Amino acid sequence: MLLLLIILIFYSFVFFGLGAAKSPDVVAKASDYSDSGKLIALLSFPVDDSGRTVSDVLSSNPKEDKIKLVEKQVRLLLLQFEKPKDKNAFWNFVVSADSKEIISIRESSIGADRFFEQEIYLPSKDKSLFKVNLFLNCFGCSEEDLSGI
Amino acid sequence: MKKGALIIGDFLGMILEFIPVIIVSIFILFVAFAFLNEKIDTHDIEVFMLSRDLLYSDSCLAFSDDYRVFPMHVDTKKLDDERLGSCFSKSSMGFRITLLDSQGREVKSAKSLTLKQEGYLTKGASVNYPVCKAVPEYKCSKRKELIVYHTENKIQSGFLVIEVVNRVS
Repeated sequence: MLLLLIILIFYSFVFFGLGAAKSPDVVAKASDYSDSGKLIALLSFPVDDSGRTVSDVLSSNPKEDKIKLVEKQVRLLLLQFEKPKDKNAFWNFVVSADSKEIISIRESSIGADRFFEQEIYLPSKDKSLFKVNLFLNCFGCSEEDLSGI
Repeated sequence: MKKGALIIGDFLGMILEFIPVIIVSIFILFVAFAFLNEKIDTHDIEVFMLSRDLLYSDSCLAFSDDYRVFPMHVDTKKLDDERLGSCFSKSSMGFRITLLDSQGREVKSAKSLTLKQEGYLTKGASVNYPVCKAVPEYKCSKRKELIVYHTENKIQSGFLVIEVVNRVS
């Protein structure tokens, strides 16, 4: 009986005192359930005075000058996207068709983790598909850094 | 020895044998209880769900025409206190919505807050929500969404700032 009490006191200390085998606090993160909301908003942005949006321009098989205009506007918008504070992080935007990149706004990402990956397919006038990707690259970002983005 | 005394003796003996089993069972129950009742922090996901409700639902802020609803498009006419109160309600949660233009200037603001919640969600403080930070039962946070907003015959780009106060315990 004495031995049993000693064993139980020992394990009480291990489980309750030291918290051994206890998992960290469970956090239901929004990043795990995120949708393509940011990309939807980005593609709905008006790029010129006629009110044509990013997706309107992309779906109309644009020429080089229109692609440059979209790229310029998207670059400005990406700068305004929320990013983790005090971290080296940047948003990337890539449009491709038939495995060829038409617009590529990205920075060197070796060693960075990818978050908030969003993807949309846009049909174009010539019945091909544009694949549009948006994601955040971040070096050493924790779950806490990403909350609220 | 009488037969009755023998039965009582056997019964007491059995109880003594079971005492270690009972002690161990209670110990296991305590451990299981402590581990099964871990705190789950849902504040972040609740704020995200609120933002999606506001930006995707026709009865909240999403712009709609005769045919469809435009997610992530805010109809400025829908941004008022009354509508916010009816489109999303949770007694322990309050929120303030501020629509900013692309330059960060305030266009319109509305809220669904009780007087107490408004005290926690201080607007314009240099430090983010000092009262809220001092009270552990409450959690406050801010979410900034890139959106498109519709005014009279005009579509513009901007941001929707969603500030939330939530009673977490």
